[in-house]
Amino acid sequence: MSKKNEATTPSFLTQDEQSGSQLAKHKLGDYKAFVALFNFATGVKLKLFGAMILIACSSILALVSARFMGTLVEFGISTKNVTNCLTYASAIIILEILSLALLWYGRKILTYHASQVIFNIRKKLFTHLNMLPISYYDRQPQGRIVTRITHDVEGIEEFFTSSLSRFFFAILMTIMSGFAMLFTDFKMGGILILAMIPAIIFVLKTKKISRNVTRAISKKSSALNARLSEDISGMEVIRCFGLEQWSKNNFNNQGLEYLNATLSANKVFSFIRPLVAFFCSLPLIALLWFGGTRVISGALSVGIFVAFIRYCERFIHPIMTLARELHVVQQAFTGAERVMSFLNEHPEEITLGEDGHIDEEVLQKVYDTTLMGKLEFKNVSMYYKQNEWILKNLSFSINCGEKVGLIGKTGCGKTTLVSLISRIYDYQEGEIYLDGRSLKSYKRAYLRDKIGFVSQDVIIFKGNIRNNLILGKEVSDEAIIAACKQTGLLTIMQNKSQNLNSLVLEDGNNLSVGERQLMALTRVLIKNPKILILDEATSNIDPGYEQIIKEAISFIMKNRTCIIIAHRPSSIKDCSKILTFERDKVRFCESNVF
Amino acid sequence: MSQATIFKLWKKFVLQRWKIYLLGIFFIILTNVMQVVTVRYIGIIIDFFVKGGGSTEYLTLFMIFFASRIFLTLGRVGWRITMARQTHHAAFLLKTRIWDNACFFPKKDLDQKYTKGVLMNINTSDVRAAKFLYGFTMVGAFDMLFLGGLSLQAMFSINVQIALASLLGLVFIPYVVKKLAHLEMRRYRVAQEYLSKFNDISSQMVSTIRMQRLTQTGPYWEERLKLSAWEYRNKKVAAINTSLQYVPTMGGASVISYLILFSFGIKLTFDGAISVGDFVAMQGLVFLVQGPLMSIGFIISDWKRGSASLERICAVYNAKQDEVLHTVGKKINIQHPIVLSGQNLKFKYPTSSKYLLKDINISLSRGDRLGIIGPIGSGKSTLVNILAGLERNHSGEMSFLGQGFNNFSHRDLRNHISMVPQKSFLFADTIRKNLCLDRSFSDEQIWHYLKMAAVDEDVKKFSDGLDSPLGEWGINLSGGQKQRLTLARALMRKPQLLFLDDCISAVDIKTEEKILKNLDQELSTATLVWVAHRKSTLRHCNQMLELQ
Repeated sequence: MSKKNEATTPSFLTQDEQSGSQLAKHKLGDYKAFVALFNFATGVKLKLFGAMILIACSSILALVSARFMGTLVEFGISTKNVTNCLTYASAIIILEILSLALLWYGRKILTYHASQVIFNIRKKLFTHLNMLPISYYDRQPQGRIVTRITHDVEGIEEFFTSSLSRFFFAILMTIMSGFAMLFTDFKMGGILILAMIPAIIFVLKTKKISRNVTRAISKKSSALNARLSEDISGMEVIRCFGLEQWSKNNFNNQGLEYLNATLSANKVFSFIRPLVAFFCSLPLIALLWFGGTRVISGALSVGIFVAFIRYCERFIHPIMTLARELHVVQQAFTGAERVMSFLNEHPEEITLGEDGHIDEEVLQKVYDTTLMGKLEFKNVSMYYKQNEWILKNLSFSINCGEKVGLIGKTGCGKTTLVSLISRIYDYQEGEIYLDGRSLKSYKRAYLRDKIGFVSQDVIIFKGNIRNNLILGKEVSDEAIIAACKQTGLLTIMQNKSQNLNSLVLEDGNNLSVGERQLMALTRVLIKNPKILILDEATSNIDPGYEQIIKEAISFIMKNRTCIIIAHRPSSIKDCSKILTFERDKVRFCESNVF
Repeated sequence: MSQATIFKLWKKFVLQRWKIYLLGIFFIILTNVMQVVTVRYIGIIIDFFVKGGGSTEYLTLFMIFFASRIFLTLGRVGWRITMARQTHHAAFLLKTRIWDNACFFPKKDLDQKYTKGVLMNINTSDVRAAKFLYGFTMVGAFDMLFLGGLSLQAMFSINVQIALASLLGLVFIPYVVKKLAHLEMRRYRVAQEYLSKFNDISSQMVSTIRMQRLTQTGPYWEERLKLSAWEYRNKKVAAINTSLQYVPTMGGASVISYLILFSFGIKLTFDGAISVGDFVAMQGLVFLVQGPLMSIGFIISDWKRGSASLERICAVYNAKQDEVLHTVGKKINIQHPIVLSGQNLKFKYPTSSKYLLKDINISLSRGDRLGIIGPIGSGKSTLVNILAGLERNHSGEMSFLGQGFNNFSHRDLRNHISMVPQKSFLFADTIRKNLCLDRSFSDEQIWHYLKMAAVDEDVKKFSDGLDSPLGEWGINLSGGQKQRLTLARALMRKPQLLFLDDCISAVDIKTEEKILKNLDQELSTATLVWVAHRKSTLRHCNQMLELQ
């Protein structure tokens, strides 16, 4: 990605998500990132290790059992020795059961604790989401961030919880049978291990091809699903314009692309998979050729030849497993790299500078006061991009409990202005004072807690009414009910015979628009902020609730510093001051002109 | 739906491609025979060593073994490229046919019975389960038959008694595997459902992050996410543990085999009924036959799951479609003086006893502007749907250009009637594609309409202009921008009759006035129906209808 391109266009739109080229900035090595993942294993490291030991013991027992089988045939059955038969037969059965139990138990606890590691990674990611500055979210498309915390972690998860134990067992088996071969006959064993090299080269050479075809499938498949999901959501548009045939053809074409991707993958795997199996059988072929001629010339005994056949099987089988699941490891590596570089993104702490120190406690103890809500802007200027000023030399003040209206066209800086007060963005010049102290000297979390925000869209989630109102705070039911009463929500709830435990559906689908707006207002009342920002909150009022909502709003505005954003002057006729944003300048009227 | 209907659907596909399937069977047989040959030749080679043969004869043996490996590889390539490949063809046909049908379903069915979730599920997980019945499951079935048959034949040729005893000991495998496969599938599905729920919350959290930061509710969302991640983790562990149960199942089968071999087998050897070599061979075969026995379990489970999925897919194929969409219509007479007329229109929902709309009379000539006003819930949007011919379950007479809606084809009607709905919807595609839809326009034409809808300045600001992508991976539009783009989209279809359902509510007052003026001037010959909250929006109307 060229520098020039980055400056002029939001380059993320032209980038291929899968290529991950946006990571170039803080590029971590695949392996380094993967090793860094093990830092999340704190607390379970010992348990993971223990599980691996159990699995290792299990494979040793399995090898011993195989060895006893030979002894049983040689010294028991062939010689018709009943004691030997009994001893070795029961030894084999006991060993098999033990090996089985160890393997089962080992893999179980390995899975359990590996999933803990994944959970730790997820926890860290969620925390990080809250630590990243909003400017990061402005730069990145939402889809990519969601992919980081969902799909990329799933890639790592797949490896850790499903493949890790199988992998470990396979690698162990290969190494042990490799050693067994070398110890039995060094030259023969060496030849057989070397015969595996073509298979390894083949797998590594075709790695990229198979990755590309699977990637193409997943890309086309999600495109097809997205197409369908879009068309179902847009059914109204399709009906309204008579686009059924068009939609059918679109889906068909997208389907054909998907089909072609799957067919070319089928072609590739039709050759790769059998060829891997063929190359993996090369050690066996080598054994028959070199071993066979040596047996005929008398240099190798038949017994050792037979033993080598068994070792070969145990040597080949795990390697084929590894080859088949190599993509899981690859996916885990890419996932790990992306997750780690996401975690390396600078948090607010760095982009907005060090957090302030003032909170409620400091205010009370050091200044012997509480937050009043007097705001003063002195020559404030800010930009998102160097030298493209959004606000320039802005000065005004708002007294405690005063109501100020903000009007202007969309995109003129109204939202930016209120975001500055919450310290979502930094300002480059001038200073903002809250109660005479620099805004930067306040703790950001405290500041945001003391600012109430009501907008047009209310976020409601599945759960009961109580949780939707308190949002994780500890508030007594009495206090909640009192707030509901003050906003008028209680009356509505009683009419619909709901209580605090009543269920709210996803997105508040069982609530009317008015009820949702009242809920947002009740939330603010419970939060009890000192500064209140109403962002177009009254532009889309449900007429059935108009009176009750207006009363609720004027109730919560009492004794609070209020900033009201509106694009219609009628919404702000009660304000004592109006701030008007016009092209390139900001006008501030002390008196109400309406 | 009966199993017979499902079987018929399956059979039709297979019979159409019988040659490929036959070729596939040939390759499976080739593969199985070569598998047995390679195992048998190792035995033959060992016997040859014991007898002490010469190196020229050994070369022949070695070449046969080597050739069998080559043929084995060829066979494997063969069945993959023929029979297994059909899995993908089937998936394509199943998928496209679903939407071919579903996109003509009545609106009511799409809202209630075949909702987005249901259709998406059928299209992804049901097709995924069903497609294997056309390819890989069949490969597994034939492989199981031939390989199982060959190993059984080998076992019985050694000794009937021990073969029977070993089989009896392993007879539980198909049953247990079937149960396990079923349970495993169910648990993975549960885990998958939790995962998608959890992914939903994740994307919800990311999309509302600005609001959370402003209101300091981020930590609360974090807790919610952690909780659902924890639940998902538990479900996933349960699913994996089910898979791990194959370890004791198959291990148990080995132990049982050993018990039978070590008791009955050793006794037979002591008695001289079988040789030591036979004993070793028997042991290998007993382990070999476990594969096909497991396959039986998997195939039964695959078939059960696949046919349940096929059943749901068949239901979509056979569901009733909206007949209105398939009407073959007469030609529309554009010259007719009365564009739209409605007499004594009444409407009520089937579930309700009260009429939502009553005694509505309308008559609109070319160039008329009708304003509809009324509070929320007074049936404005329903009336618009009736007038636009999208809702036909009403009483009273409706006619468009002199004739009832039912006389015209859906496609013709939609070419003349356009609508801007209250809720603006744009596809996750570029701005250009959203505007053009099934037609093609020059850039100049597009900009003309964008200017009419007063959204041209906004689009110019996007760095990719008309080719800027919208949606999750693209730019975020404000509510007002979305509304104006949907307006431009409707205008581009040059309708005779245009419905505007409170569609510029999120636009500021100055822009609104600009749009209203543009529409009134540019669409002088078209007929407009306006719905609004505020009377002020309707100042260009020459007819008014107030709903209560």
